[in-house]
Amino acid sequence: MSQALRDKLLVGDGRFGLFGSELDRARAGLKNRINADQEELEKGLAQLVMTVIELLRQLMERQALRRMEGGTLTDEEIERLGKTFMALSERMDELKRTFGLSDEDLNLDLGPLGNLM
Amino acid sequence: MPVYLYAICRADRAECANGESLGERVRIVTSNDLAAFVSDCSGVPVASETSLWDHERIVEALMATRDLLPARFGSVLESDLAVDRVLADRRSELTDALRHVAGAVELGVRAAWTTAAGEHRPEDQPRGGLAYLRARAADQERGLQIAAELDRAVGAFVRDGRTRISAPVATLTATYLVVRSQIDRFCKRVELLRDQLPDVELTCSGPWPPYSFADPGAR
Repeated sequence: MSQALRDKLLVGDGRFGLFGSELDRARAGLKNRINADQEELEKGLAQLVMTVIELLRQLMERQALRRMEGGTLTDEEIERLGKTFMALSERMDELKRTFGLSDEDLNLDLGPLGNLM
Repeated sequence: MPVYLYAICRADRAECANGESLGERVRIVTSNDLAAFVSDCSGVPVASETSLWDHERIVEALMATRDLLPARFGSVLESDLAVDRVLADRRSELTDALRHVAGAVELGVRAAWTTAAGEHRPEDQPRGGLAYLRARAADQERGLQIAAELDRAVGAFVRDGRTRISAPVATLTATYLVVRSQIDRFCKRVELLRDQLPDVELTCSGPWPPYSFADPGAR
């Protein structure tokens, strides 16, 4: 941890790189705006598509959780849904690794509305 | 020529106080009763730890003697004219935001806890769908509990706050707008909460310019 960062730490020990993602976020945010590099185009497209998929995945998962808690799903349905979401989550992790993307990359800054996720 | 935006303040507070220096690069663009601190640049800078801290140091130096709306790192506008247009078009919104952050700084709190769903790895024994969904529900519930505990702990000492729970990685990021005189009290409350929640890694950082409560950057 740099001295500048240490000076900013008021409580806690700043372990496990809690601040590191700020830099990733800044880089990701800037890439979104200026990325016209041909080589990066594929990654940029993958990022865009995966952001949409991740949003849908999270929305559907929340809906499933609500329905599970509301008792409107049978045990078989819960089991099937859970397995689907688990597989989807693992597949997304694989794709993120393939394209070198982090969780923060699959977020969208919506300006005054805040972040998408 | 493109200009890099550091911060916006009231025009009558833009002038340098005694002994204050803006440095070689930073200059002021004024539009009615608002002013922006900018410097000439060739485009969007490369994000690195050094360049982020350079931006931070300049904004913090400006903030030492005036209330301001800090721009995010990498906020670049086309020209002085574009800066003038932003100040004019968003005058009322920016003036309100300046009033909101007056005398306050941003403090950041991050919490991370062991995730129930994230404990599962593909190489582990296959797990049932029901167990997975229950673990996700537990993670979500734990995040909401920690957010509520945090708000209860520091709520009396903040003017405003934003909380974001990130379920897949089980972290919570909160930013609070805190009047300078309340910083110590705020930190003591976070320390107390840290002792009360041994399974949660709690970190508080600051004081930062109020980035989360004013975003006048180029979009």
